[in-house]
Amino acid sequence: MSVLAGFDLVIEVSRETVLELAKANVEFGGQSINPPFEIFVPVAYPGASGLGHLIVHKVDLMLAGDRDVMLAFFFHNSSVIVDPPLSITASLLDGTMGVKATLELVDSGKPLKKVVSADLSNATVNLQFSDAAEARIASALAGKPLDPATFKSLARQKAESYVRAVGRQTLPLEFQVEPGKFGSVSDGIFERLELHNILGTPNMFFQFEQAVGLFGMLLPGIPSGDHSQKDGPAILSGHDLAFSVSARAFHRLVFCPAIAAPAKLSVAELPPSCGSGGGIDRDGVTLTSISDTFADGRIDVNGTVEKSGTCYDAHGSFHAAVTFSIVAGQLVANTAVDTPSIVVEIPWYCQLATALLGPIGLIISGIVSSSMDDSIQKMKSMTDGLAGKGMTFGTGGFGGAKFDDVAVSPEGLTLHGFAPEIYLPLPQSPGISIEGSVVTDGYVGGSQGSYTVEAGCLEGTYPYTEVQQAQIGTYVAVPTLLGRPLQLEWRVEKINGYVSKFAAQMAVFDHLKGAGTTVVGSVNTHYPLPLPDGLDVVQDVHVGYTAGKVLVLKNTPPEGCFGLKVSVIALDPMGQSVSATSGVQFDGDVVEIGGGYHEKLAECIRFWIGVAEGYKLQDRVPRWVPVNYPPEAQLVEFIRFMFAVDTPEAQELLPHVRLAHGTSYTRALLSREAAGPSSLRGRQKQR
Amino acid sequence: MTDRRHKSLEIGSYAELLRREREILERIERMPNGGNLFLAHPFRLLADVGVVLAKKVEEEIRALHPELSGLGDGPYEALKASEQPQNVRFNVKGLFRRREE
Repeated sequence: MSVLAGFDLVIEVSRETVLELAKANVEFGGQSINPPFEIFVPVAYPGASGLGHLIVHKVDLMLAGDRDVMLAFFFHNSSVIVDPPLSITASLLDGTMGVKATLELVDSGKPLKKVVSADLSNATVNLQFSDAAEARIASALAGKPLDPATFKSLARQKAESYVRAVGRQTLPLEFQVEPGKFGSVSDGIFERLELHNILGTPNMFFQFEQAVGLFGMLLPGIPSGDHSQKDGPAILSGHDLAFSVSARAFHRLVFCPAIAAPAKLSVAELPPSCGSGGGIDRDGVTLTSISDTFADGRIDVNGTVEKSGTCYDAHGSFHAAVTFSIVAGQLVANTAVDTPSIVVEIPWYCQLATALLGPIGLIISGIVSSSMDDSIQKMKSMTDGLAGKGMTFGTGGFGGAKFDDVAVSPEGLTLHGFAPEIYLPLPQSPGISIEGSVVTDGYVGGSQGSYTVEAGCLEGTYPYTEVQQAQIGTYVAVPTLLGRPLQLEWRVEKINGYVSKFAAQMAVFDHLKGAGTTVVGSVNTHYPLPLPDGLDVVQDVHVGYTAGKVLVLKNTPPEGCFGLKVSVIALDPMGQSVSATSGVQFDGDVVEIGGGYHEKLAECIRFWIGVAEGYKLQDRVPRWVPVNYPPEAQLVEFIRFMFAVDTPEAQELLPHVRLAHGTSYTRALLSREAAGPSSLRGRQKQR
Repeated sequence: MTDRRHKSLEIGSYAELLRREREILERIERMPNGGNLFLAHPFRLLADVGVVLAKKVEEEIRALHPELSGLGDGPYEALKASEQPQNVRFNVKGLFRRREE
């Protein structure tokens, strides 16, 4: 089995790791495909329209062919609902949606960078339904002008259109490619790079070992390898990654530069096998040749040296075996240098026997050790490069990759390791929320007059207009991961105190079915007149409603301003039940006051705040909140402050704050912020 | 003891030694570890390859190479008995320094 198939550097990423990367990075409709998630596919048929809804609970990935990737989306509790007049409801459907696309290396948008990508606009999609789902589809189509085969064909077409609209998706596998230049093992720079699947043979469980392979050439001017010669992933069982460097690339880019650097020579100036030079002097010994040969489990380093003395010429040869291990995640070389073999020519008797072998042996050991140390440093740089400098792998780089095994074969060196942790988006869970708002539909009456403040900062006369407003609240339930069609049960109830962050108390409520008017008893209502602080009235309120997929509520303007709590309980075809609550505020009676009242009030408040600050009434004094639908939290905070200070000025001004802010004041008091803790700190201080 | 494989070669003068140098070197080269044995103890080796030096010649050689006074029989016997290839193998290209050198 070939590991490198004639390439210089092969990076293998396991199928499982590619799947995790896809879950974290591929998006359908703006959401990641980390299950569970849901897909909505518009359905259009001549004379009819509707919505397909898939709840995906599992995603798998398989590699096929040269570069194809098959994503399998396992769905359940899914549905196709076609609106009238065709009126088809096929629910509780389960099955698999297969998406076949092609992986490719494309420009990342950064100079010289390529990234792994799949263009889903060319994807093909197939839909497989379970037998139970097939039966439900047949039942839903009974009596309809649409047969199951046509239905499924249309569903497949729509699903394919949806997937194709997703467009190009990119995995964070980025590589630098510089054609025509020598690549770099340590910096992860390729001269050429190809992407191909690596498919193994089936094991005893009929599972195929699969990986995505990045096949790179680092040396220009030599033909690329043939990826088809690689007959399976080199990734060890239980591992994510394998990085293999060919003996050729190791020799040219790692081993030889490690010898050349200390001699301050180019590789070409080195003696064979690195270059064609005559030899380099190292500590008085001339290195006349050196080579590295990959064998099973080791690299053999062989070389020759020469040394001449007063009465001798010595020629030596040496051999070292270099083995590798991973210690604490670091690549470590273990170099064993054999005793060198030396032939000495002597012209006549001279005493040198004891003086020669030891020093030459030491020097040879030094040469081999230092060159291998330098080589290992480059290999470490490669692993660091793979870990983030040169190639990114996963968001923010491949910084967390860990290696725990290294293997050497006649082809090259392979590091085995694990991908960094891939952070998947938080999975969703079934639930529901209420979204909606109240708008004013019309004006049904009111009054006009003048309001006089006889003394104090606000002294003056201000014109006002009272208006009674007919308002409509429109609310929809927004489900998440719930099957369709949903059975919705809407309720309204009076608010007992502030709206809580927690589930509604269901002790007093009215079910809303169809259309009608519900009476909610003993509701706290408010009228802005008499000025400035108006009137609170506890009374029954009458709320018109239409309850269906959408809840529409209408107030009765003469009943003033009040808040209610709206709840919805949803039940899906699989029997999952969830609920949600929201507040609704009707402002049936409001006052607009003019004549410079607001400007005067703001001025008075600022003056009063200045006094409060001067006397250090509170550790923290909030600013005046301008009148224009301020954030509820800001107004709540200001109101709390005025209550807490409790000076005559605050007592005088508080009703005017309520008048100025009008409905905002009421909304603030009924908001969730009002039910939360105050950010005011410290105790009131005495003057 | 003279090696019986070699025909005895009588050397009566230093000049004769140098004249017969090539023949003697060939004998040394054929001797296992011959170069190494020559460095260990040239007189023992010469005797082992059948070279019989006259007393006068040996004295001349010792005068030319004072370091030959420190030779020992033990290392020579050990090396001669060893059948292992040596890490340093000496090829002897000449026997002793010529007078003018």
